[in-house]
Amino acid sequence: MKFAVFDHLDRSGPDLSRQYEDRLKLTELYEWAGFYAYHIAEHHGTPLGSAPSPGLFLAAVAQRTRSLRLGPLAYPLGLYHPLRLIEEICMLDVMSGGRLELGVGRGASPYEAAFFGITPDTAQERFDETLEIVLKGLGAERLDHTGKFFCLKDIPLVIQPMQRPHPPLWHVTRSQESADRLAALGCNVALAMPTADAGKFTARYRAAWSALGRAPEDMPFLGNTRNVVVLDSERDAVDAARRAFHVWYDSMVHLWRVHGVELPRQISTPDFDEAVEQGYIVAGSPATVCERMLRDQRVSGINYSICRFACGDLSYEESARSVRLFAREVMPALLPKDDKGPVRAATGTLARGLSWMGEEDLSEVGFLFR
Amino acid sequence: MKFGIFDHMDRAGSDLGRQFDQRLRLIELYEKAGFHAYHLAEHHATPLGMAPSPSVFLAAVAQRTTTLRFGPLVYTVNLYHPLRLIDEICMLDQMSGGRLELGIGRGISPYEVGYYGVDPATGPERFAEALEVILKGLTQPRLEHAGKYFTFKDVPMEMRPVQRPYPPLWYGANSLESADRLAKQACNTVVGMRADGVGQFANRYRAAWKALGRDESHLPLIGLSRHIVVGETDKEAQSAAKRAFILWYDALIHLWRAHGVGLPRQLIPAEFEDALAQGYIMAGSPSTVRERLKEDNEIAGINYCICRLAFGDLSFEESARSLELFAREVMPAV
Repeated sequence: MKFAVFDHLDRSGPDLSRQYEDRLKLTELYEWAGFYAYHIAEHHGTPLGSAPSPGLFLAAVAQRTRSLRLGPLAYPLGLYHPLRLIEEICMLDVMSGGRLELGVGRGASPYEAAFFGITPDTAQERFDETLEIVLKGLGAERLDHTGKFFCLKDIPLVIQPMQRPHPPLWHVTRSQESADRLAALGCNVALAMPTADAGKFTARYRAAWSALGRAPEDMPFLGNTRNVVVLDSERDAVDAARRAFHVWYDSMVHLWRVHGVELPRQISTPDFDEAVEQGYIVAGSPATVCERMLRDQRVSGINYSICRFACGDLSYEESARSVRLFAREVMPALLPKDDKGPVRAATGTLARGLSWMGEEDLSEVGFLFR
Repeated sequence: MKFGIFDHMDRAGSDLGRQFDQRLRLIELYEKAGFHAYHLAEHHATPLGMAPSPSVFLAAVAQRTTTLRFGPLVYTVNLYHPLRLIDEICMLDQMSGGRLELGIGRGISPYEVGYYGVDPATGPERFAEALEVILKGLTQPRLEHAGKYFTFKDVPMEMRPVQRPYPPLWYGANSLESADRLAKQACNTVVGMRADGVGQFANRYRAAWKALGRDESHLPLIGLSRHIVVGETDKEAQSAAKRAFILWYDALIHLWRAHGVGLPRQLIPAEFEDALAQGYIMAGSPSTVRERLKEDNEIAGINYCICRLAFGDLSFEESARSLELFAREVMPAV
């Protein structure tokens, strides 16, 4: 079992310089506490993402830490030129001494893609082609590609990643059906699901893994994301979590609301108590959080526990206290006695003939993509 | 007179991680020595530019320094989606507490822009439109634009730079005629000419500035960039400079040579001795460099003296030693 952190870097107040510095101090704390990796989202034109070019923030994180792994979760590939992405990935991997974890996605928000002039009807194809180019280019010395969106002829690649063939691949999903495909690709997964649904997903992924004849010890990371607030008093923790949840949720729903729709309910419920019940939020004293996470860990079948300690208007002090308590009083109890989980992320591949994403990934927001 | 640093981040050897690491240590020393700013180039698919996303490296620079200003020189604007560039500018300015110096250009290498699928023939027009979009985006709460290359309808601009309305603009100038336009735009300039040519440029810039009725004390920075190696003796410094210059020059012409052509304008002589004689490189003992620099700066009429202390295969120790001597023995006298 490994522990990791996910961060939207959603807006916490008016002073962004200060927020950046507070978050960087927190990454130092994550490293101290023994977290495996720090994952950061990419969003545009919304208070949900104050690090719209995650590579820049991660370059700063690499300077503040020595062993913590780090990466975007995920780069919306369609919003980048593939050459730019190859160059940025290589720079980050080299500058961090090979600590990059490479999350790739199509981008969950049609509104954000539209700002960049990407229309929903081409989003999928563009994603597929960009991913193909990026994986072809990482580690190669020359790049050739002829496709629908890009034509790259004999481009010399002077910069290579430190990790070969490329940094570990990650994908975010909310669909059960994608388990089979992601298992075939050997891709690490970050879920954002209610505990019970995560349990179904990991069971399906593991079944697909074993049906492929792959060894259990090569299992990729399967993680689920939670908002975690641990404070000395139960009441303080729940109050802080509730307060921050509403600020964070407003950021989540912001662009959808502007366009006159609510956030698809599969993405997250607006109701704090319901979110707690589903396992999206774990808040309380160390004993409460310990008990709840131990139970959820069993139900969800994960081998990678992704926590969000900073979101909404949680202050640096609240988040830092939460991380310290978690590290001291929760984490040790969550480690299985005989831990057979992976010690590092799987590399993942782009298997021929397998599309990275399927129709089912579109289902939650499908009405907007059709 | 202010002092700045320019860096191509051309390939120094086979270990890029070590190069990044040593360059960051050197940048800490630039700050200590009192330099005004660190300027980093953007190049693609060539050993001339091992930091093809300058923003990524500059984000690390912001962590290693507290007062040193820094920026791309220049962002090849046509190789970015304008929204991406607005995001990066805002992030870097916020991550550094407002220390960004914003160099912009269209990208002068047809090979490099070609790799990104941009037709070099559309360069100037595309650049002008992208710049308009970027400056609008940095200053307005919502972005509206309908142009030939870009259309934006009511896009919310959630990010803001610390420096308002936007970070200081920099432009690389290669022609005398551009002085009038750059003065009008109050743009800081790095002039890619020999000292005498820069002298004419600076005169024209100042005259244009005055004609606009602007205060001389607000004159933007007009800079000239030179390779600098200072050693105990002329011989020691020049031998290191020559070795490094050859490697750097190879990187400079790499893509042109690969395509079977020479550099479009022989701005910098290929021979080390010529480059030294013409002042593109200053290499020698502290007194040699001091005298030549004073003389050339006077001719050039600049108020910003840009040094390139790391290039080619100069080792960290060589560059650090050079910097130390420069800061102690040359800077105060210039």
